[in-house]
Amino acid sequence: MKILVFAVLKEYFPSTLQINDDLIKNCTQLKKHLISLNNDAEPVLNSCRFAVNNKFITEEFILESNDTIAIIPPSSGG
Amino acid sequence: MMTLKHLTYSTIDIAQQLSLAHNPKSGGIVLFSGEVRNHHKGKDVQSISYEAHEPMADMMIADIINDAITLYHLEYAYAQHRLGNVEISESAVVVITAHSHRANAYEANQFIIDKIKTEAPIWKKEIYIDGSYYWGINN
Repeated sequence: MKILVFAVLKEYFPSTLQINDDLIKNCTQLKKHLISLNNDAEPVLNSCRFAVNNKFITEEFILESNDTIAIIPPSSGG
Repeated sequence: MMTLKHLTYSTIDIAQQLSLAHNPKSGGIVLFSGEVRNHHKGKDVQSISYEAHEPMADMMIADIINDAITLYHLEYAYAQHRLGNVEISESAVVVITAHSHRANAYEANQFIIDKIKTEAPIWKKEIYIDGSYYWGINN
């Protein structure tokens, strides 16, 4: 799966990541995986939402290996 | 390349945007311009750099505007947000609402800007005169 990272999260990860792990099936598992890559990002990741196809997803959403997942930090526009 | 209706890397032409809102049914037109100020929590701000999940933010702003049109029975509503570096006193976001009466235009305008600030995937990086920076969070 392809991961898109924005704003403050780019201090911890490159803006685009490719993760190939069939065991990651939902946002919680993806978040845990990202924390294992950089545990300094945990507080930020805990405040983020996840989106697929420009829509926020819930914990129940099943991630597929060809999904592009955007990790959305809290908004700060305006 | 996707055309963005509500996001722009260019200076927002406020007068031009306002000119599009005039219509014979509207007795009240409200224009809000959110502008970059030169200070934040005691620090001197040089500029703000904005980024977004562009297709998602554009779509969400369109949805917020449509919700406001329905909820407040607006004759016209539009919003545009800057991306990239925005200098002091430049407009970072403009919201325009038009209604027969001013009360709905005011309320709808606030509804739209509040939703954009808290829901749309847009982020600001405040850059200070001393070279430091801060990724903002709206509550």
